Amino acid sequence: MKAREFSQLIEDIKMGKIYSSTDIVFKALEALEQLAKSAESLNELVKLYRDTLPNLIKARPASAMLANSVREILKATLDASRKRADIKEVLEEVTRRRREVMRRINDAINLAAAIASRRIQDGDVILTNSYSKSVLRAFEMAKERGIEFSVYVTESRPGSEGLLTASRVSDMKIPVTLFVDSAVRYFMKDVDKVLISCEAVAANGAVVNKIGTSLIALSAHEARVRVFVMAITYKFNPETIFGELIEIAEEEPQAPFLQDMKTRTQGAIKALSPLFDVTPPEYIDAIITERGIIAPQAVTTVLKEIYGWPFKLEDIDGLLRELESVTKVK
Amino acid sequence: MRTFPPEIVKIYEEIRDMKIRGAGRIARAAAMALKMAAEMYTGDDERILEYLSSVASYVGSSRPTAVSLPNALHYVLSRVKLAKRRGVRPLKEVAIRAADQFIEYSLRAVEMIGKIGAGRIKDGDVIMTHCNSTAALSVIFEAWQRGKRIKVYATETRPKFQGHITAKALASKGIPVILIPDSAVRYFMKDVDKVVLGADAVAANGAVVNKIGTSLIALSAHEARVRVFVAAETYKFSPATLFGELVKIEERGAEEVVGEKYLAKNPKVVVRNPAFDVTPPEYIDAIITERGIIAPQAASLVLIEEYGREFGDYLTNITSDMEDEGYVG
Repeated sequence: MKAREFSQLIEDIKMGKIYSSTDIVFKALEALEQLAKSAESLNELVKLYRDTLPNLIKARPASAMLANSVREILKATLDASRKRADIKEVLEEVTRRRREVMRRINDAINLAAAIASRRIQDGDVILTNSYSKSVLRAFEMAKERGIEFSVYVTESRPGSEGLLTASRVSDMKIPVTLFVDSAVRYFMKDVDKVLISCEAVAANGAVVNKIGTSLIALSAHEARVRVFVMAITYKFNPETIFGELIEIAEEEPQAPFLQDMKTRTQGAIKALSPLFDVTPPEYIDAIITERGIIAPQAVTTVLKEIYGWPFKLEDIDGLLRELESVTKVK
Repeated sequence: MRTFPPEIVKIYEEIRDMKIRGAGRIARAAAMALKMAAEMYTGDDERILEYLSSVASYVGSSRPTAVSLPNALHYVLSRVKLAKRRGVRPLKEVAIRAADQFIEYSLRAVEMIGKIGAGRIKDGDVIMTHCNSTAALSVIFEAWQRGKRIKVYATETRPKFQGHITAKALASKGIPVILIPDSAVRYFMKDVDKVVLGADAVAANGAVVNKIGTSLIALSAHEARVRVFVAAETYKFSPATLFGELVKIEERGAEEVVGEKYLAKNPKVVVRNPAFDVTPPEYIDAIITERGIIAPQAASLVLIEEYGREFGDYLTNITSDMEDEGYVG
């Protein structure tokens, strides 16, 4: 039963049914924990991980936060297993770490949002896209501080998450204007700041986010409008330091956009729908993290603080293998 | 307001409701409206010009941005005004002939643009286009017909999905085409060799008014050093812009962007829907007209050649406005 729920979650992630990358991570961690609890032995747990974790990561390959937090859970499992604890104790440790990771993410988002909200000033028009919990939290905090500003949101095709963002912003009693993605340059001259979230930050400061973000950043750059990207350090992708590229997933064939294209063109036309794009660091003025505002070029410095130098990074596959060998010994 | 025959009202409504879309088609429909008005006119000879003018301003008010619309009306009306023979019959004939001439010219212009533009497309080129432009398609079709193996990226073109019409038209000729969301333009730009677009209006400085999103594509192409070609008949050039007039950008209804249900649920969300944007000349490599390929900066030359003899009228209007406002005696 848990396994089926877990595959359903993977399906939902792939189909873009969960809008916020934080929500994806939280749901995934909770589902993973439930799944783990169905294991009756360490061997069984390792097998469950082996069967599900790669699929989970692949469901959202660009999400650094997903990979980073899964890595933490795996590490917790491995550490607990090494202490010769029995399955029950290991699972308790997994739960403890899951809660800790979620709390850390929540705290980080709140901190980053508080910092971001300080960059919003009276009279500002802030442009954003897609749907981001961090950005919405920043708006909320700026509003609470009595700042009078308004928000522009793009529709954000193919998922049209901008509609939900506009709705949420309007619930906060902040004036909000919605328009199609292609109208970005038309409205850019009225915009004071761009505030967006992201899926991942690469070592060179490039930002992976919802498709269309790089167009917004380019257009902002042309109009000398500042671009701020909210990214808690969980979203920094450490693998990119070793030259790994971040994989940009295409929309699933059954997802709404490609289905819609199929219906409208009677299936006669090929359509392509990448979910994310890469914004180069030169179009980003600052990245807002829970540790403060940094230049995109300073991402390496932050990664160094977290992972040390030379870099100490366990890859997920390696962790799984290690876990297998530890449990086999027993 | 005067009432007009149902045939003319129908043309007005179809342009307004975008059943007749595209600057070329709109222009031809407008010329057709004047032709029908002339044919159906039953009044005396003194009033025919006034009547045709009233039909022209009625049809001309259907959509604000496409300059081809007033230019087509002007093409017919100016010929009636300048006709040497007076009387109802001869004037009717002049109007009908002028309308026919315009329609024929317009169709031939699209063909010429295809022939001229196709020369700029190379075998193996990957082309990106936006919205649904007859002139741009004419270039792509002609290149394909000449045996150039090309591939086309067509943007879906929100909110009204005209990109689907383009994609279907290309596919029906066997041209490989891929539909993409408008937001994916920069993602795919690195695979693109040339951007071929249409225009709703060309201003005197070479700025191009076209479907919303065009300027974003041109900007993205400029960044990637991809050439941008605009296919535009000369009757899309706006003479009024030579005298400082701005091209008015039409904003359409919110329900084109989001459903009625969303609007009802979110009454405080303002939905804006500009139909066009302005691409500055520095992002355009060339404008392909039926008279040849020109630099966008040469747009004023086309205007002077086409409308130069009537500039007196514009200047007279401006002068009399200034007199009214007390600037000149």
